[in-house]
Amino acid sequence: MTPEERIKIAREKAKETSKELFKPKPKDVEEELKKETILGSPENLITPDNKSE
Amino acid sequence: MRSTHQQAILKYDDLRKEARSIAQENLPKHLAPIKLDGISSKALVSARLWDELNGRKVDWDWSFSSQYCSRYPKAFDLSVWHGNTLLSLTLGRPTFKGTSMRMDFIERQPSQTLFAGDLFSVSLLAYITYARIIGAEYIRIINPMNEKLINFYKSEDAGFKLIAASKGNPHYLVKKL
Repeated sequence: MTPEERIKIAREKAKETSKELFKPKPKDVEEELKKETILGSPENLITPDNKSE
Repeated sequence: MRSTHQQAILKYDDLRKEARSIAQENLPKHLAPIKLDGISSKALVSARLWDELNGRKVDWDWSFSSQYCSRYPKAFDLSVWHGNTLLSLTLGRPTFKGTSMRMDFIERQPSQTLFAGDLFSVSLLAYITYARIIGAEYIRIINPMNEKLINFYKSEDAGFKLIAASKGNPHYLVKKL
């Protein structure tokens, strides 16, 4: 598949993905998302032992 | 720097811009005022101002992000803005085989900001879009620490699976695209 074809697919699927991601969430999750300011860590950038990563 | 490496940086820079643009166009209406960009020098200057705000949980220095994107030409950098206010930064890269896109870490402005509850989803939309553009089949959220959010993302509603840490790699949430 060419990059242009993949871009076309990404464009077609983005609307549906957006709907899924932004649909209403449980109240406690909404509150946690408002409070939490980080996800993950820069330590993730260290080259992992597992080379497939 | 070898020319093939430079060519890869330029090629993937175009794809990063495309992914941000598609994600931006598909944000819900209430998020229309926000803009997506790469992690520019302007973003780095704005991120340094976060140190002066109360409630910053970490002391991450984001200035390494340009070196990171140079080292990993396929990496994906994202900054989210409301006018001249930087709302969040995100960095990640595909796995070496390119089958999964890793969202390695996100930080949002520490103070209670507009759209605070939506910013992780904004990053996910951009990362999923970029993953599709580069042909990755999975999206991963690497090393999430917030139990409530882990439980939500692995619920049937969100559809991620939690994979335990192994071989020196941290745990992560994964979803097939």
